[in-house]
Amino acid sequence: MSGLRAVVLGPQVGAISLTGGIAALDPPPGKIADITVGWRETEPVRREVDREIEKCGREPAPLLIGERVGRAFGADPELSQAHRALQEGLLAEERLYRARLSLAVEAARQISLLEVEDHHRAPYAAAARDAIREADRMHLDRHAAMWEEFRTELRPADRPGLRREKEEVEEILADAAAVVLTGGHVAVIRNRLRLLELGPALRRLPVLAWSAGAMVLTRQVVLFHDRLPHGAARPEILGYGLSLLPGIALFPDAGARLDLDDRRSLGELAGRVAPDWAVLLDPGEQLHWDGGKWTAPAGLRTLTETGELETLPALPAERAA
Amino acid sequence: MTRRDESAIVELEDAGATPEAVDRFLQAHEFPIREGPRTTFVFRGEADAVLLGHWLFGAAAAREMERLGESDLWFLTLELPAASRVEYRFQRAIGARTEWILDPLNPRTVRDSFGVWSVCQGTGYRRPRWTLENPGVGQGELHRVPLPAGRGDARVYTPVGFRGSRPYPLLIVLDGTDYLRYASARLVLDNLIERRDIPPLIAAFVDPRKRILDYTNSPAHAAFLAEELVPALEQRFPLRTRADERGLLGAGLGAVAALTTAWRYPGFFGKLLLQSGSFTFTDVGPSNRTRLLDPVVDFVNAYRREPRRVASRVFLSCGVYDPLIYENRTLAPLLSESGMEVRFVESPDGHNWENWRDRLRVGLSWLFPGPIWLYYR
Repeated sequence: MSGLRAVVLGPQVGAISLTGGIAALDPPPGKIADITVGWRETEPVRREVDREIEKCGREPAPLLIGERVGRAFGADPELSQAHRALQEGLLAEERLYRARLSLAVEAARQISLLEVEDHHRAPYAAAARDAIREADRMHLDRHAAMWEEFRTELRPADRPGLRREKEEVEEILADAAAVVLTGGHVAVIRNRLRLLELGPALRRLPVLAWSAGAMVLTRQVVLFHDRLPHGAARPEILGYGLSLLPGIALFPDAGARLDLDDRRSLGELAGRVAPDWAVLLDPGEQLHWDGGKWTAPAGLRTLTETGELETLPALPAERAA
Repeated sequence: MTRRDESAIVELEDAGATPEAVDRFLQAHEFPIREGPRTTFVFRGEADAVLLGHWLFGAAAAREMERLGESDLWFLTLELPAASRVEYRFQRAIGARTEWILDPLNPRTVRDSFGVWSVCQGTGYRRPRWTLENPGVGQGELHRVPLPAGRGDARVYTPVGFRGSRPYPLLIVLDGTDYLRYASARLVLDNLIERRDIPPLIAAFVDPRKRILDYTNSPAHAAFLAEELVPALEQRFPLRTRADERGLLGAGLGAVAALTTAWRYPGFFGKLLLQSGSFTFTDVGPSNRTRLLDPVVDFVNAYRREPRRVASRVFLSCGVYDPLIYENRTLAPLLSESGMEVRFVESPDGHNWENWRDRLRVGLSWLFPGPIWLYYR
């Protein structure tokens, strides 16, 4: 056994390849559970993940989270409706956050472009940065509060339909030696895991996760894409993650999704996720978490608040804000 | 027009454009000839004059071609920006007789509702992959839906994996049959949804009864769209009802119809995709358009005097070779001024369906952002 608590893989482009990651994680004997809900939980794709687990001589134990939640919603229309209403509410909040954020980001950009001496610029730049971080913080808080209100009012995990599914999942996890969490749709993965309140059950297992699956295990999930068909989008905080992987904010597929020449924006992004480290992840790369520190076979590529790309041998678990 | 010493046509001239040399020249090249930024159009045949015509609604923007020496070879060299796409025909004059013909040397053609055109693809133009059939991509379905008020049928697109229990955004496509036939709209929607550039959505493809009446600021047509079509679609399909989840798409006069409908029903259609709109106005001089466009001129003049916010987002596109480029360039800042979020894209192309097809990805994905933003492979 390697003693690793988590292995994070870079994006899976083309065929999925997990054998290297599972070997690095080297979990104790036993089945490996898999969560494929964000990756399109269709038979062929799920089988692809299972086959990778089998290649390592392990028996896969698919958790079928998507199917389970769908079944629970079918049996409990009140829960389904309330969850839909929650999603609509979160979308409304996102639109408000986006409106606020767009002006804050634009102000920071304008301030950075003005031809003035730095001692004049500095206080305004700092205030502009604070405005962005305040927009992020308020959105995180609003998002968490809405989920909490939903959880308190509906008590989803105590309702018969969902409780049954949750208990079955927890039984499988109790028997498993590790869990694999795929990439894919980050909001779908996070919402399903949160609905089933699987954080505590996942916390006790070694985890192999990639891209979106790993993002939801960090403290906060940051959405980013500089190469959308219509141009760059402003990075946004989706909301809190499950906080199982400490100290980092993940930027998978950074080479394809981020404009790595735009140092000002990169620095701004690193500042927004601080005190977490902004860690970039590309195909073929791995990150290792041993419960105390982050390492990577090829070094960890992090962004600094000045927009530099820095490769470090290891990161401590926490750093001061 | 430019002629450069190193061009193939100048080499032919220098070598003496004998019939045999012209034969060899024609065999040695693909036409039009692309040499870096220069494109040379070539016609060989009996003629007293030859023009290169790039059309808009029958009004030719024609340019004279030059005869090469004493030969029967005519040519015109243009500098076209990278990735340009031009649809054209030749006008050949023999005595008093003139005729418009396809370029006999160019096998690439395109068809639209006005006929067949030769297509010149400048250096760097590539048909986008998302406009092509892809066997791995699931296909949405087209349903025929009878329309109220004897307006025939709409064809309503439902995306692959459609579920009746889930609400979808709505896109109403004016000149729907043409968008399906000439802009591969169904294929484009399938591909953009598969790529997660846009969310799964429902699109209603509708046609006008009489285009020149319906699409020229007609209150009746606007009422049909807002008061009859949308409620009828909402009854039959699971649609999101927020204005931000409802869009109108049109090209040429269809774009005028989209904007005037939104103007008559402000806040009802949140998203507008206006392609090469015929936004003619006269406040800076007389119009040379037909009187049938007077209602459009009146509308645009009034809008220029008093721009108004009618939707939340407007995507405007126009080809730089389109005679309507001036009108569209003029409209874009007015739309912005009114408080709408506006994006204006100019393309190295003309007033044609393939240009409109090629702009659908950037336009639709900006108006209806898809989950690619949330997807980390």
